Amino acid sequence: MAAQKDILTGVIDLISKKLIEAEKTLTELDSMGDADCGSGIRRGFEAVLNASDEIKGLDVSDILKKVGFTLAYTIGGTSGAMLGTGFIETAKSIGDNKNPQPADWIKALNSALAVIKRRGGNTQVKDKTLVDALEPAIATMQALQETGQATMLQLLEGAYAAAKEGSDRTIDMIARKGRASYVGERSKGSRDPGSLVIVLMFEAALEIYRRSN
Amino acid sequence: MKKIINKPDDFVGEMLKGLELSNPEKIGVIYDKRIVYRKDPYLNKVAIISGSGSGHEPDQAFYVGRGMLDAACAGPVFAAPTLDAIVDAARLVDRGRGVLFLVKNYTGDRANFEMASEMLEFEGGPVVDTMIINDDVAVKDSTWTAGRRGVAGAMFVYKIVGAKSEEEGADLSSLKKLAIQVNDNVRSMGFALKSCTTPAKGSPTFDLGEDEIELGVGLHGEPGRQRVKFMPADETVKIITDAVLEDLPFISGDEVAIMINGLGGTPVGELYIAAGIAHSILKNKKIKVSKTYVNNFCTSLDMEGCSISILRLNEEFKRLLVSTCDIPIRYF
Repeated sequence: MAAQKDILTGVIDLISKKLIEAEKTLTELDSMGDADCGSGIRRGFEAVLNASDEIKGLDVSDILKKVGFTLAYTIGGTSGAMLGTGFIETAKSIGDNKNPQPADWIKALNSALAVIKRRGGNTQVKDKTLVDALEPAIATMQALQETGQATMLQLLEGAYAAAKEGSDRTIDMIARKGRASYVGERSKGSRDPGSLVIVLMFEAALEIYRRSN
Repeated sequence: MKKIINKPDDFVGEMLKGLELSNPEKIGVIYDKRIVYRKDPYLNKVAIISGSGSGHEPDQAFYVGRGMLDAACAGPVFAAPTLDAIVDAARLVDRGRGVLFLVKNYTGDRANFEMASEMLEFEGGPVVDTMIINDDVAVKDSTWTAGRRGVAGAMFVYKIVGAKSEEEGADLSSLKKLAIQVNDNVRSMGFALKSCTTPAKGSPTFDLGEDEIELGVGLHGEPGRQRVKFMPADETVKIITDAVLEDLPFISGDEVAIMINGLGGTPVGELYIAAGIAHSILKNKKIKVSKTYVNNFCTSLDMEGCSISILRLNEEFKRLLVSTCDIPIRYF
């Protein structure tokens, strides 16, 4: 099986490609906000792809840190702050652990989630944000991990399914955070773009993990 | 979409280039970070920085200059500036007395300024503080929203705080207190006749029927709180002015400054029609208007419509509002 850093590099690469491809969809979904989501995310992940040679030479936590700062420096807006925070905080928690185990990943993701929620102004599930996909995805991973029976592949399958269901639930929600919150009832009926970003990230992780096994 | 642009991604950079070339002695631009800074020498003052997504010009890149902002961080269109730009801008303009960030209340702006502040604190300075501006009465401040937005009332905060720093050398904590005081005394609300079109999307952000207007529209083309049938200017301006007046509330005997702010696509002549109506309403309520500002101050690209901001004055605000400042949008 490939080294963790190589799997992670592959995941980052596929995440970037999927999110660049999703530009139009994200922009459409963000018209309840301000239609800046798609182009910002495309710009950020193009910058990540441009740094791929440098990223290949790094260890797990430095890869995450590099991706986080690249996104925070190039996207701008809420997406840049939240995605940047997510990768940077995950990196901080992983620290110099070159071979983090599932439990380490879950701990790192939980600490990233906590800072994302604080930065968004105490964001909670049902506020119609990326948290609606991210929180259940991590919770599912954690629950499966605690059974002591699940493989990493099963954790990722569970996380992906939970993120997708969480993202689907945002369609009927009224936004309570971010710019879409200003329109109240009218924010109902469309998916939160941030939650879709999380779904695509877990989808990419799952695809790469399947291939590497 | 027909606009004076080349590539959507070049919108901000090319605009800043025009700004710099038109003001060669006064304005400098760091292009890769989209930082606009004043070039004239200044010492021994607290530096004032604002930043937000672009597309609201003249807010805020065009308010950089003696007596107002020392630097502005221009984000991509309608997206907050990145934290590295904020960090670099703070280091660039600090003169040893600290930096005050004046930030309009949007999730992305707050998050990026917060990350920048944490990074500056971690890396040993300069000392910074942040004041959040939230003057828009269209959004109810509750746990159900991201809170009241900062809109055109922010211009009063920049002007008064900028003058206090420039002319009187106030320290960081008194400037923050003053900024809070201005924010506490200003209220705004806007309406749109037509949506804006962002360069990236190329089509209107929201659809408004020929006979519809959006009351309480946001600065980014986010839909407002209520969509109503189009009506004559007298009625629309009354609804908006009353909403602003009731919120503080402003009362008979108050002395105020008003700002009739175009959202980018409305002719100045129409803004003066709105100004005339607002004056009559205020006169009837025995509220004295000492100063009137009519123009595009804080826009939403090409959106049609306007916002009305009212600031309750005191002697200090009056003095600082009229002190000279030297910024790119000076007229003759």
